[in-house]
Amino acid sequence: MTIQSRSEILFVAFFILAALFPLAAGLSYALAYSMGIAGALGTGFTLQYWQTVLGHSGFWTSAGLSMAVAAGCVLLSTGLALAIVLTFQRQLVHSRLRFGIYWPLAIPPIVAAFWGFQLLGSSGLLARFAAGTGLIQGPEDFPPLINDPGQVGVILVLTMATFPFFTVVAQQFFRSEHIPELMRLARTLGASHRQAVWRIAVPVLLRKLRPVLVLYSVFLFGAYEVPLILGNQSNRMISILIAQKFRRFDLLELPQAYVITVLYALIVLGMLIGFRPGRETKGHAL
Amino acid sequence: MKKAFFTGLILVLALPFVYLPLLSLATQWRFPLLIPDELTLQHWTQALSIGGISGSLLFSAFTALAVALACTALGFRVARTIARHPHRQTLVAIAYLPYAFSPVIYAFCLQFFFLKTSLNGTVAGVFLGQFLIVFPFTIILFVNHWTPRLRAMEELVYTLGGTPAAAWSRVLLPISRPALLNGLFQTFLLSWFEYGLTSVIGQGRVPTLPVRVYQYIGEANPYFAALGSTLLICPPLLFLWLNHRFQQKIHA
Amino acid sequence: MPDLLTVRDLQVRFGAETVLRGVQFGVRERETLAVLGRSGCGKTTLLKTLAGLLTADDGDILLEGQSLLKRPPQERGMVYLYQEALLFPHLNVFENIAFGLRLRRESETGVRDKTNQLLQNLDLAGQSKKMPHQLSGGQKQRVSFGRALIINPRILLLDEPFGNLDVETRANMQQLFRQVADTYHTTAVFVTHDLKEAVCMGDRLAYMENGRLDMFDNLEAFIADPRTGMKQEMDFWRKLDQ
Repeated sequence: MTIQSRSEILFVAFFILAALFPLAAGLSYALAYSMGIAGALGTGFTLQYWQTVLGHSGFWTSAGLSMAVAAGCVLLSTGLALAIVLTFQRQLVHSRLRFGIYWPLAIPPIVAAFWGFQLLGSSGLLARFAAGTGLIQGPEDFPPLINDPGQVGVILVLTMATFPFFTVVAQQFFRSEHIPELMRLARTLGASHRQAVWRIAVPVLLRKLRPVLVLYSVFLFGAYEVPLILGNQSNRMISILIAQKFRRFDLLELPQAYVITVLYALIVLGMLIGFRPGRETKGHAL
Repeated sequence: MKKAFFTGLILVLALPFVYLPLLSLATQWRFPLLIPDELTLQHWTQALSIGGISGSLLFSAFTALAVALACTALGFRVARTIARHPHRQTLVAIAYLPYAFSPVIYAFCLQFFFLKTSLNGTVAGVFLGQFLIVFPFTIILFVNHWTPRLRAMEELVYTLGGTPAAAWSRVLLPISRPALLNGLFQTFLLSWFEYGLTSVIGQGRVPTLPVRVYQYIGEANPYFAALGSTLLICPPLLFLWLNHRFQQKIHA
Repeated sequence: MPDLLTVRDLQVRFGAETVLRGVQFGVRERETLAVLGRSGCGKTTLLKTLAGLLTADDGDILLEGQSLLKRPPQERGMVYLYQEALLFPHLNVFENIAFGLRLRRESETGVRDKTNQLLQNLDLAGQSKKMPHQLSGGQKQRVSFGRALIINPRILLLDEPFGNLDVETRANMQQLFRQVADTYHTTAVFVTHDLKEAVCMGDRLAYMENGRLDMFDNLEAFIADPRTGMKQEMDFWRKLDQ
């Protein structure tokens, strides 16, 4: 009933054209290619590539690994963020930490990966400290933290890049949800400090953080730059697996790359629909 | 225990900002020394005179600025329509899709169409590709800015006799200045940080700064990679500092 | 005296829901029509439709006999004031009040004279340089009035304007509004859910329920209608008195 003009319809059309159409078109093409309907190998409908991908352990290992890395990073980052907000409340409000916690948001993923390489490599900064304190004799004694099959380096660097943002958001919720007041109230009702933390602060913060955690799980699941530089070559995260298959210029690998792309999209869609991050989150790029 | 945790935290937060510039000033850094053998400006003068990095710096800045301006302007206006749309929730959910999708995988999905339109490996292609991931983000960013209160204010201008143009120029834009500035910063950084999509669509022919840094890492040239990294973290640090100052001013 | 504003059989629907069902009334020049109604009765929709912010599905709105339906809000000469003062946060008190004159590109001296005059009349003389966040609730509402009055609107549409104020400020504002309405010969439609406020502010009274509006010829008729709750209220005080 409001005064609607034609321009409003045009803006919605533009939004659909820019936000939904390219992705939908790209995924439709991927689906068609993966079934032999489109592309250079388009010999007609076949499920052969799907069978190859689903029957081979490569995809499952990659998807599982990406899930594990994402879950590990989110878990570690959430734990760190909550610990920082609940332990260093005074510093987060008054000291340099208030500004410092934002610093890592200024690091692009490619730089984070390079920094991880310089920090965790066998002749990196940590190894130098270890050698300086006599813990190791030379670079060869330092445990492999990068390009290792356990993806320790990837998880550490992604966590270093993620936890400051979680801390910033948790700190905002700590204030907006009046958690200090709620904790004081719990204390007057007879709760110990420990109980106030575990029964009030942590559950309330986790509830509020949930949309951010889901969104970051999706981001980390598809992380690219950090595993590209620090990941293990034979044990690859899903973005790396897809990129390698696309870049190999082996025509027979292309349909498989598209199969995995469609599967990746389905997993992302499943995560987003399953947990609906848009409900409560406000936009955050950093 | 608490003190050690705090010191560790400060180290984790601050160390890259000391280490990366230091590495860019080194010519040699033998194991297990904790600081380089000598510090010179050699790489910096070299990098800035030969082109390469300085070209990428300008190119990245130009691209990020163009993407930020286009996305912020359009996103701000389109978010207004979406905020007042009967299907607001669905439209916002759609905006999350390209934003949540891994940019590098999105780029592979788009590659066929970019090849067909000869946009692959071109600056225009990279701009368009980045626009497609940054623009939906601006909707997420701005949709909550368009509150019923802001709408009431806009309507008030109309009943006081103002045209839509007057509502924009005298009320909506002036009171949205902080939000627009924040939008510009964030979109600039999304583009400035972007590597995955740019590497696929640019095909190495569009050398933004992150692409250049990756090349140096691949060539095992840590000094230039550190130099490029230092350049990459400067603008966001500046934005953070400006924002910090702005917040302090508000609190004061 | 002929009506300045005439509303004929006004219908407004939102999808399947009918919000205004054949609303019909008139307002004379320099008169305040107080409309009493509970929240959700259609009061806000009525005012917004009069102001041109919503479109009518049926019926007509006439100002001095001319239909307004095709005219945009800018050309209706009606200012719609909300419960919240909605002062422009980037402008000081003076510029908030002068806003309508600036839109009309009035000369600097004209703006200064008229705005200062209004600041005087609204008891805001010392506040002109203050920003909106430095004002109290009552002061904000005064500025909001000033901003509307300065352009000499044909009709003021007031949507629970004092709803957010405490009891004392509210009483002061009601008094101020009566004074200002007299000084500026204001014609107004004043919507409220507060019985006492409706009776104090209105030269004539109407009651709205479920998208229908009933006009009363006089206060007695208003009291006699059980839906207004006026009789109940009077009985309550009378009993207390006994």
